[in-house]
Amino acid sequence: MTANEIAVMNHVQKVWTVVQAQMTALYSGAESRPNALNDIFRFLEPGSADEVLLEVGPVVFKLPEKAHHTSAALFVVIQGTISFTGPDFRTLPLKSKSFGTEVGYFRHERGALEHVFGAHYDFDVERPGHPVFHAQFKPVEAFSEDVRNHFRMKGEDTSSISGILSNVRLPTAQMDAFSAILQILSDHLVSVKSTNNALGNFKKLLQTGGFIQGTAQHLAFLNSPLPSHCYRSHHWYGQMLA
Amino acid sequence: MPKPSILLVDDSPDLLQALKAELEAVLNLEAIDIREWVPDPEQGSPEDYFQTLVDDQTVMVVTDYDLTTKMKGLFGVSIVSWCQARLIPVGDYSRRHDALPAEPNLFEFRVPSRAAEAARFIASTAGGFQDLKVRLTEPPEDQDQTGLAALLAAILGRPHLDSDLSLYLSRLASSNAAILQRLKELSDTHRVDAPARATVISYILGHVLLNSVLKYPGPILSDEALCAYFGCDIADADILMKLFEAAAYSGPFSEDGRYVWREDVDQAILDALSAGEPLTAESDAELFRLVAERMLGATLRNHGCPRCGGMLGGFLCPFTTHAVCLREDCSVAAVGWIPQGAQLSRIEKTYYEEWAPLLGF
Repeated sequence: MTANEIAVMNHVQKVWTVVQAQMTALYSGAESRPNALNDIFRFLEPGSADEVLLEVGPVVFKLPEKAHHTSAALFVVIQGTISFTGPDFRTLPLKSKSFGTEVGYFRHERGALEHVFGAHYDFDVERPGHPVFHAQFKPVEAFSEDVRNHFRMKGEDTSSISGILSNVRLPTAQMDAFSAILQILSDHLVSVKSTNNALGNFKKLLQTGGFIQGTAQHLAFLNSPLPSHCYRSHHWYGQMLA
Repeated sequence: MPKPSILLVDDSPDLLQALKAELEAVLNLEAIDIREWVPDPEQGSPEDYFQTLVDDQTVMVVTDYDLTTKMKGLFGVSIVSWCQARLIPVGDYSRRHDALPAEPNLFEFRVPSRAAEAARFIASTAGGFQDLKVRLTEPPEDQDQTGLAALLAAILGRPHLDSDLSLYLSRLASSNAAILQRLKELSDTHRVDAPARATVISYILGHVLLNSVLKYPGPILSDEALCAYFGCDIADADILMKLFEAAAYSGPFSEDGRYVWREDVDQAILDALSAGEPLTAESDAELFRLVAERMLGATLRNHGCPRCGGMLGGFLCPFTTHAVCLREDCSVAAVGWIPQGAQLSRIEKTYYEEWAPLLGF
């Protein structure tokens, strides 16, 4: 462990605590496993001395498919990495440099675990034709093992997305692991029927988003006035025009 | 209005007087009375007699486990139950080491059996509940809207820790139905008077704070937890507590124990790391120990773990009170055994392997 890694972990611990607390407040049956910090977040060897490389997960969320459902039978697995650059890792926001995230969704019904969605979220400024932030849908059946191990399930696995076309690259926001967690919790724990208290819990979740600044800070083609006031997807290929 | 009081219950008059004498030495007797009860059949129904000894100003009841010297069949568990029904904090003790489980339920305390230790514990616990009740009787304007965790965080002067503390409250629903019923009644009659509200909420928050937050390390560390955090022997607790005295926790229940705020310790570690030559280590605890040793200009003693030779650590097993680490042969993070907010608590592997099969984990 280095001083930089300790500083990053302190921030991550505070954010993860808010995620856990607000998730439970939004839906008492919602949970995630593992829930010990060190079992979820680990540091890898960074690319340079002035970087910190954080590995996240796999972490499994047990959620209702919709916020008003009475049972939580949807399992979402997240795994990813995100790197931060220094020199200052104590002051927020942490400055992200690169990331990669995978998510897999599984519906537990009648004893079977059905793989219903999977995606890889990526950051790419090198390859032509790749939007800088994008999602590719793909099966991640291997994540079912994490669901079964953490929630002690037996039974068979099925998949409804095994043949999905995997080179569709949808331009997206920066979907690092923490962004993905926010998206997953808002999809399944917030709805038009949410009470004011629930919306207050969601607001606390949203406020954690500010602990990371996106990698776009390093990309001149995304920092000019036009992209930041437009958001149409052609800007996401701007590295070709740079 | 009657004076606040503490009720002591023991079937041995001599032992009760010994405890009372120790308690008188540590309490402000102008502010609180000590009542005593030696159960006797001539008093009639024990429950009816108990009800004559307690009132709305009873701060705490302390009872021996075995009260059967004269009253056949009367055990402290009955006293505990009557107290819980009236939301009176209650502690019990036994001079037989195997009579009571070491771990109490959430809404009771285990009082040390030695009179001097017991007196300090009782004084600190009673004082803590009184402190909470006073602070809750004078509610801030928006207190109704804040929730228990936010209330507790505000009382402790750390409002930003409401999420950390809410993770200690998440299992409240399964702990005691009668208390939850009282909470529901409180929320249904929204404008209930402040003293009644303060009684219910101070009862709940006091137990959560003493039996959960202070016991299972997370945002607040005891001296055992602090030593585990630094991977050092408990014999160095005085040195570490002195080093981090600026991080001291001085809120309710702090009189009979030493505690520090983890976030303040973390800041001090980062400040020290930033100030000197870079240090690295394989684990947090090793790095923290190196930092502390540099701050102290002295070596700390390794803890006595036979698996790592006392080199690792970072976590406390609240059941064995040993420093443990992340090694697979050392500890597990057991879901369901430890409050979710207790991020620095892990269960020692040997203890877990002994008890998990019996408990169905």
